[in-house]
Amino acid sequence: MGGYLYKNILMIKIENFSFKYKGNDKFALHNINLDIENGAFLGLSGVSGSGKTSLLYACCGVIPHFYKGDFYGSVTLAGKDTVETPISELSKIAAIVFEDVDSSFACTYPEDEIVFGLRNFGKSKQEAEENAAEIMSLFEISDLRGKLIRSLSGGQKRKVALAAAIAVKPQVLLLDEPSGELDPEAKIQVFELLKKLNEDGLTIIVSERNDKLLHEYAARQYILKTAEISE
Amino acid sequence: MGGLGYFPGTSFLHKLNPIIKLFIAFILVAAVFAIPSLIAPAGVLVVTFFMALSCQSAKWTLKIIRSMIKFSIVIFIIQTLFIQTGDTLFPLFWGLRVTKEGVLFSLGFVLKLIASALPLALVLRITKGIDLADSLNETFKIPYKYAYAISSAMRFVPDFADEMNDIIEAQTARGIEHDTKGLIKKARLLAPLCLPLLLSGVRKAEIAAISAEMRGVANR
Repeated sequence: MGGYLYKNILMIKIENFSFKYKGNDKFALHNINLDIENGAFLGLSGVSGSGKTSLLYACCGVIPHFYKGDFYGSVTLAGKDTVETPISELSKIAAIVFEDVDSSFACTYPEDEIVFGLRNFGKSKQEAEENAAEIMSLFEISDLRGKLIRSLSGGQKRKVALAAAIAVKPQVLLLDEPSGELDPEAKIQVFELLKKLNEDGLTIIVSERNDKLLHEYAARQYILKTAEISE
Repeated sequence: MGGLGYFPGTSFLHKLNPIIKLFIAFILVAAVFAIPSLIAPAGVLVVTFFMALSCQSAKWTLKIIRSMIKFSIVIFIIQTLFIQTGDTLFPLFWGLRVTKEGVLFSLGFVLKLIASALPLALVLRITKGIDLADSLNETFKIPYKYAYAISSAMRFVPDFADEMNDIIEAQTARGIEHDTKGLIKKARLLAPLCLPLLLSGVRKAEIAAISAEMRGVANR
């Protein structure tokens, strides 16, 4: 996959960050301080509603660009302030795989899904198709070519979403509940893939309810409890 | 599911440039409305059927026509009741009557409705959304963001149909009888599904939009 800059450089810096969604009195995240180095594999655990997804959204700029509210403190992604920097810039640095992968697909076929992102980032149609073929083979999903995405299994869909996210070579990959709805074998497959990508230098942040998986794969693990974070 | 999603194939029409497909569809739709005769919609139906036949979609076309006829019956009845001028064919209740003019107009109206929808449905059937978005962007210089919005709206049609089926199956499992032929009873059963379907649609569209933005759709 090729290197992803240097290790030990700060990729994400979160300082005194608090966030309240618009129309909500409670803090979704409160006084979060977090330094995430390049090449880190970070796990976020916690019960539903503890703020895991919100923290992922804040790391890549989805908060505050798409979800408005009261934003306190600062979040920087590769040195860029997520409030000041347009999402088109932030999307070149960070890729996110949503919990609801079904809704996040832009296309009906796996190969098109990968081509979609590549073309958005400036590749010609031919280049994008060649790269898509490579990435599909790397993720061992070449056999899914020509199959409707909605006909795939949960694990296959996750792999397609991951491949599409990775194809554009982001520096940070954020995943929201990647093991949700997957059978035990598929969960391991997804996390093994993440491990490989991380070994290649990709910074990975995973929000996951399954503590066991995080314990096994993530180098650092944080627990979110009612909007606050602890190691 | 044989709905409005893309159906892969290698036919001549499949391989045609999406803009040419759209152009042909618009010519057919324009003919339906521009020619003041019932021959136009009937002719367009026949032409579209043969085009569908050439891309292995004849059965699908008949299925679409059948489901549109069901919908059109309701429109036909309402339309006929609203036109009270012309020779009376037979009287109804409360002074209402069915007139020759009403029947002819309503028949033409539903025929035009079906004939104008079918070519566009066929375009969606034989064109990948992503190809359509690319062509709209490249040929008409429509900003990719908007071209993508048009194509992704099509992608959601089968998803909504699946979601609707899921809800119906879940309700059937709880003992609600959805397998009824009565139109009013069916409408009464489906009405409460509209709100959850709408809410889930809004949520899905929101995720899809954020996901597209995060994947650089605005960069093109």
